[in-house]
Amino acid sequence: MAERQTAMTEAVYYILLSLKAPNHGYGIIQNTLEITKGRLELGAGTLYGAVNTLLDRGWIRLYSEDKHSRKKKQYLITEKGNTALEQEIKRLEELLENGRNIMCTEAGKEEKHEEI
Amino acid sequence: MRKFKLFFDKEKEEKWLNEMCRQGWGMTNFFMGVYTFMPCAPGQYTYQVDLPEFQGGTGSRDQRKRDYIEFVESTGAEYVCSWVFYMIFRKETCKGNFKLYTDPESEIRLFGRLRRLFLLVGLIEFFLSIFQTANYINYVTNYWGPNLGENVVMFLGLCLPYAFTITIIIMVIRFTRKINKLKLYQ
Repeated sequence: MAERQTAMTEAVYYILLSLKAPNHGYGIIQNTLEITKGRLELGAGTLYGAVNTLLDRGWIRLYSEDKHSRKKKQYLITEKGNTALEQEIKRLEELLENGRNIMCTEAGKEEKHEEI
Repeated sequence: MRKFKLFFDKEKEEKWLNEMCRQGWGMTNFFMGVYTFMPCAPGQYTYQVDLPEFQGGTGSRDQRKRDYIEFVESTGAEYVCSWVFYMIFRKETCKGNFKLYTDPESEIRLFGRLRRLFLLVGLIEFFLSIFQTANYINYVTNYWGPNLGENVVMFLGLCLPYAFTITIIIMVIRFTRKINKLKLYQ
């Protein structure tokens, strides 16, 4: 049976995005901060748990391990992770489109009501 | 400086550690309820008490523990000490915010781990309470005597495990409430 696609958490979504190129834990935090313009700062415990879950799921893999550096483990998104990310973006697009459509027509209706 | 204090609630513990730090005392070690403090600049650090998750990953528990510490330290924090399953980290306040768990999903998992640990300790305490009750009944029926001190000690020996069990049950209920509240934000 195919894995059911449920909504990704923000953390998972931004971790996957940050791992389009090889990156280490601290790099993921920095990249997420940067692309969300400082809104989302992932805590180390949250990141650690999410990275392990993603490794177990096979959505990311260990890319390199440097025994001498503090920032030793680099990760990279896998084929499976990429597919999941694409599916999530599609789902989010649908979400956004439906939201905008309905909100725009609702706004129109409300204006008409006021006119009457 | 050393201070003895018992905490069941890690959030209260964090508050207290941060308050001590604001007064110029940075916590550097913990053993059996005794906290060691060293002078620091007032408010130099932000403290976080952690019950880390060692799920997944390979290697021994020790290796994973080292991995976790290294991971957290790579984000600019400093490992202070660990105690059984707990770990304490701190980060210099000038280096920015310090919070280990930043989304409801990971917080739910954290409180789930805390609840499991407390349930286990609570169960042990519960059996200890029953054992002490039997012990006490035996003492009262056979040895209750004029030695007041001994009577008091026996009575405290009965009350303490019960008080512990009740406190732990209260904490388990609190964790459950917290988890349910967090689930609303998921």
